Amino acid sequence: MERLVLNMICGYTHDDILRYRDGALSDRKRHSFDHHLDSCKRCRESLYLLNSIEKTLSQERDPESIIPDAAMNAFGIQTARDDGKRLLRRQILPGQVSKWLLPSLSFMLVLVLLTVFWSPLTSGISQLISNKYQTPLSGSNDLVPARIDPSPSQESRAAVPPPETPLRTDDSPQFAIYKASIPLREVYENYSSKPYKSGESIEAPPYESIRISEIPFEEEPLLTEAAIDAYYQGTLIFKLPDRSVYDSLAKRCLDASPVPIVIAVDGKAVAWGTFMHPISSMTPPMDSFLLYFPFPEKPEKTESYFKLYNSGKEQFDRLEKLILAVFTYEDKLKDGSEAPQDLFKEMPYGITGSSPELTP
Amino acid sequence: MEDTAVLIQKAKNGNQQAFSELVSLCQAKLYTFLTRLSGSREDGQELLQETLLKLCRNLHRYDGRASFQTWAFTIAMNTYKSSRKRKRRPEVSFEALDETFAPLEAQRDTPEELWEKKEDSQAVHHLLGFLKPDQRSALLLKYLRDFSFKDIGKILGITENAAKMKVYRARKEILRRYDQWKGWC
Repeated sequence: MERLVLNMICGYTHDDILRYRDGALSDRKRHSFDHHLDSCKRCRESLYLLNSIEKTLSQERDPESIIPDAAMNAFGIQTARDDGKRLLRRQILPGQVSKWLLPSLSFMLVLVLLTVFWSPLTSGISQLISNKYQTPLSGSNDLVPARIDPSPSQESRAAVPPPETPLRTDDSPQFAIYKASIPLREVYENYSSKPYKSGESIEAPPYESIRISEIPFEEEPLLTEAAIDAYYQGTLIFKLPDRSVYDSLAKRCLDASPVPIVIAVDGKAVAWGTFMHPISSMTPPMDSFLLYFPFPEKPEKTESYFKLYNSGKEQFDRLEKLILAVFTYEDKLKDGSEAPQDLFKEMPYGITGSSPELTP
Repeated sequence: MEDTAVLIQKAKNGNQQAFSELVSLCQAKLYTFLTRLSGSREDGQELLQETLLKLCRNLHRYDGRASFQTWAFTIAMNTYKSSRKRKRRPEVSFEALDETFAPLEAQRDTPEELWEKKEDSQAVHHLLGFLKPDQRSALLLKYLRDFSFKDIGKILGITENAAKMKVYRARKEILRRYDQWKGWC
């Protein structure tokens, strides 16, 4: 009934409301509309709606308002939420301090007393909590159940600090990334129990022995999560269920970056190369870098290889040298220049020099 | 931070650091825009990745006629348009609006209060879902990113006046939908 009456008594159109909002009504009409507003719920709400749209959207100009911390961090942006103190300063006004402080102090006092008098219980509880729920690496704030350590001794529990990057375990990945922050040479040597010799083929290491964390992913999140992790952690070793997954993956993500990766299928390394993602520290146009090749052969000189080589020759040179250096583990590059000491941390730009133009 | 023009020149010459700085100038803005345009954070992230890739690939084509930011948003718009062909934004229904608004209305004494709280921004974005993509883009570029109508025109490939009209019509459409939902028309 109210709706019907409102419709009947309000003769103002949306254009009138918009013009009023924009200050485009004549003085006479504006005064008339002012009076009308006192009695018309529909026009009042419409104006509030227009205000609210502008207000809401302008508030979101600050990216912190909608972007989760994880995503912001992934883009390398520090958020106010990263800094708890800033957040507190923003939210707690002087008059509210006692309201916030008292419960906090009480809670802390209880916690201290519990820690002093009943430390075995508290350490047990905290261990249980930290094992039960751990935050995934990035991208989401959802809590996921984590694997519980079967039987660590109480001493070791107390001594081992919580991992910086908590393990994320989900036993149902289609395929998984095994991430290792150790150089490939070390991986090889650990695996084969012998020093690496230049030019020697490297078989895939047993992943269990070098596993640091296991990240389940669908194809798309792979590009984000793995690139971020790779950028900060170093080497990535991918284990894929079969060749077809590798084929689809290789086309999309095996572009160049400072991060070397190894791709393994059925326990064997089938390819390696470097990983690039737009949100990792940006390298030159991706079209210049489409290097991936079967392991342990050297890069295939395909038509696209030459095309790319010649289109982005200088950058390509640097990258190729890095990859070849990593690939063969030669201490000296072909042109006699020194290979970087730590290839896995060296950016491709660290290598200088050029090679002659190639033709297919 | 260096001048944008200098950064662009350096990035064109293959300077990685310069490109990173250039991207950092606009990636968060692009992200909020694309998230609101597409209606989900996941899609926003996906579109951002595509946009940044295209930025990188096409940087050599940037001729400085528009500001870098305008150019970046043009690429973001085109990325969004091509993604729409693959994936449609979910339809918005009045039932969904009911779910968003009804609890809010029940808690408040006056209808005006409905629009005063920041947490109601979800309701606003719900209404944006009713708009046609070009209207939504124009509205977001105007109020979310504070572009001038001239720049909105450049980004959308239309004239300044047409951009003004798109924003106007977008607001009008929201009012119409709201009236419709309230049963006022």
